[in-house]
Amino acid sequence: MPLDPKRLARDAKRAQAQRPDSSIGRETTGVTRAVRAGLPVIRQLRAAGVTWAAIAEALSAQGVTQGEGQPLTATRLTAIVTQVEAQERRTAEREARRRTRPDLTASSEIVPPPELSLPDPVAPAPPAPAGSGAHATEEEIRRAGLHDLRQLLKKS
Amino acid sequence: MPRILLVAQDKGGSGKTVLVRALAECLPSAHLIEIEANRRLVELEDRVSFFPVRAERGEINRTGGAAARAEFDGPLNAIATAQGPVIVDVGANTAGSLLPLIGEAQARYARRGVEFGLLVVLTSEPGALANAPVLLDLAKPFTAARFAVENQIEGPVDPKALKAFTKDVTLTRLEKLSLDERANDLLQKGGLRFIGEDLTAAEDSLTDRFGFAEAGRIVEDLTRFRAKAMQAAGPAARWLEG
Repeated sequence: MPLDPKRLARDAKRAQAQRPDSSIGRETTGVTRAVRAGLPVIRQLRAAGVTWAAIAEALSAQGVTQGEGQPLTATRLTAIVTQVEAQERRTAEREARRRTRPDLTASSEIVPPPELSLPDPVAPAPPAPAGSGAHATEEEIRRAGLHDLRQLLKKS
Repeated sequence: MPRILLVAQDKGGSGKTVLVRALAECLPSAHLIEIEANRRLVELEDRVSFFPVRAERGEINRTGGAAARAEFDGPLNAIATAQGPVIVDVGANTAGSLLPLIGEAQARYARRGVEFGLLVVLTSEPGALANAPVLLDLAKPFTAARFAVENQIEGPVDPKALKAFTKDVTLTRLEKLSLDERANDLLQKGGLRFIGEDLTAAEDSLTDRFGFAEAGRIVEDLTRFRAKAMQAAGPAARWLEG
């Protein structure tokens, strides 16, 4: 099938411009976006002993609902948080891997986290930053592994 | 009459969770209770009720020991309300505390029609081997059936040692299998469920990713491992089914 290179470049740029300003990818639902934005507060509440059910109820009160306006459940909330944290972790790992590659130079597309400076070209690469600022739990690691497996098993 | 199978071994790394997963494969209708520090059976989703142990030291200090006494209330309550067969994954370092509590409540459970069985997983590792008869003895007064699985992952267990404590116990073996490295990685990520449900259909994807020969080894090794694990869990699964 003949390929029109000009059209390919034009369509790709347009698609890129339509994507949200995120290195993670397309948001699928407003709930995920809201949870991602509220994750620091959610973590603080959990550290203070607030239950997932109470947090889900509070989010629902601000209009963060699931399905057809149904209140967000604790189960759904923990699933979304786990998913968002796994995405953040993978993104951080990917960026760290890229920084160790000698064949790549820093470009405008790969912006390091604000708290980090660009690595010294002759110094060893810094350790991977913790994407969420906290260590992943065993359950999060297991869920991320299961997600990877399911991706692998998808029909190509 | 609900039957509850407790799967126990206080030494970690004995393959207990593999046997729990194999039981879950044998009995797709069974519910599971997971008593662990962290949720592990994530692939089984809502078939599992998870109860974290143990009580945090701060909570125990605050409540003057009440938290320690109540730390198993969740799973004990769940067992009392079971409607059908239940597989209980008793986490490492937990069975020695939990089994006596169940024994104390056995008469009350019996009035609710609940019947208990025990499956102990043991290996040739000294800690696991020593713990197996302790758990079998603890459970003897309140269990209708006791099972032991010799997991040969660390090599075969001395037959004399086994004979000493497996009288009146149904003994099966899970022989050591050498798995392809990638097959083992997938097993760690997905447990046994995907092997029965998705693996054959995914062979083309695996072939695209790893090549024809290795994809074949992955499918063959994982299928064989699942079958062997289910075979080792078979007698306990048949009892649980009733």
